[in-house]
Amino acid sequence: MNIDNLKSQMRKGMLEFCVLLLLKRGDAYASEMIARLKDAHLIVMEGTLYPLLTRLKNDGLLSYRWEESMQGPPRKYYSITTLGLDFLGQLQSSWDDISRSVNLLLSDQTTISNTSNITEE
Amino acid sequence: MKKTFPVNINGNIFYIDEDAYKLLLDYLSQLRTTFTGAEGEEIVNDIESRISEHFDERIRLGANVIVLEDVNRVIETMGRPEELSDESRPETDSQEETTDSCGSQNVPPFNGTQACPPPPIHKRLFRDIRHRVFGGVIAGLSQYFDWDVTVMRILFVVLTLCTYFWPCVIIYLVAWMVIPVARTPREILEMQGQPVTLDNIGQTVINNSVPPAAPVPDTDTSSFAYFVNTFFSIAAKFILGFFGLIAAVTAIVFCCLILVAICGIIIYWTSGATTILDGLDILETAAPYISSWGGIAIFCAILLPALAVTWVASCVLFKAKTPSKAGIITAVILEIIIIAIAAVLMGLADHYEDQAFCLFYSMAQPISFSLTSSIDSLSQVAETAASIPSLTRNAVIPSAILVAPAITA
Repeated sequence: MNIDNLKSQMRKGMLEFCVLLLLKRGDAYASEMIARLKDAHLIVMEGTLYPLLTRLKNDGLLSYRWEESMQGPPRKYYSITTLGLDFLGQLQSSWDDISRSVNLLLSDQTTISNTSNITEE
Repeated sequence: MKKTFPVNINGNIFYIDEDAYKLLLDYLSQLRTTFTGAEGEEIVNDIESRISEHFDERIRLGANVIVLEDVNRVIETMGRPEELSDESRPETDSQEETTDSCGSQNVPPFNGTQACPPPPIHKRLFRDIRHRVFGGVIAGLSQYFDWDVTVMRILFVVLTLCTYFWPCVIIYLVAWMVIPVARTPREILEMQGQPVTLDNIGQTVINNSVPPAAPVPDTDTSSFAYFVNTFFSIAAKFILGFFGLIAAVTAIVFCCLILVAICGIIIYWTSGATTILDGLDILETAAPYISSWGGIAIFCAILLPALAVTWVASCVLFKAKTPSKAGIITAVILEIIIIAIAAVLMGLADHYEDQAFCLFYSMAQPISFSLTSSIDSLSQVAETAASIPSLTRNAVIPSAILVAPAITA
């Protein structure tokens, strides 16, 4: 079992979810998304975002438009489509399920460790 | 001091050092090999625009020029192509570490030469006509075994001499026939044992177009290179040349026949006219030589069409320069004049010497003359060659002794 592999798989699954979440709050261009995802410690290499965005766009979950910027060349602003919103809803509910389950188990762990501590005492 | 280029990345102009530029170019082209198709194009463009933003940031913070370090940092930030390609294929192992261990990844730093993802190297034996002497067999073998080509050539020559020439020559010719020539960039890469990536192919194309020592194979149909290109083409040329020779000989014979016929007609017509010259004593005394001169004129009259036929044959075979219209006209006029001279001379000779076979006799004369004289000159050359050692001893060494002080002085 490769721990790094598993970790990156987990993160990868999350990344698309998080990108959709970000875009639900409002349209953004790639660099803004990178900044936020970096703040959230979700990505290390910026290059990983671009294949993902293109994939989501090709799947019809995202769309983009070109917008003039005050500085530099025009930027690609991504926005979430209705299909993307549906998709996000499903992801959200499954995430809720997963987090509930994991939290349940985690809280079990803590209670068990607490009880074991108690019994040891 | 470094050379700097202005580059346009996504609409922004940056001044970038030469080495940094090369690294960036490598990085982008490797990204292009990683992300292919229309989708890949879009991804690479997006990454490029992000790189442009990073550089812009760098300039705004006070840098004047993008240096190697900046490019390295950007590559580190964006991710190496092999890591990114792993990202896009979830089933393969990813090298991405935990979020906060960016600096501690023990993957080697990106350098432009490494190919990614490295496909299995598949080396094949080709003839390398870019570095050939004859057919590029030795050059190809040296590529295949990774030996120095000069050493291999010397070894081959030594081996040829040791085996009394023919076995090695035959082996070489067979190898020439059997081993295919590396034509496409892909084949050249396979010959060199380099991985066939888009980047490398591009590099090969660039390399091939630049050096003057590498003729572009097969595209120049007019040059000698095309002619030597393959053994089969040479064999075909030899066969063609053989038939060409037969055709030329036939043509020469025909020319002779036509010439003789024309001469005969002219002699017949002009025999009366030549009697006008009867009274001139000078012709009387010159009579024995007239037939010789007539023979030479006939020889020239034959030689000209023969040369013409050879030229036409070489035009067809070797794509030699075709003669100009003026040249053809001049040759035809010259031919007519020579025939006329030959006819008049032979007519005179016929008149004075009154020999039935004068024509044939005088034709044979210059040929036999040139044969005996050439044999004479050959024997003379041989004698001279034999006398060279004594000649050196007697003439060269003393003269050297005389000249040497003069030079040093």
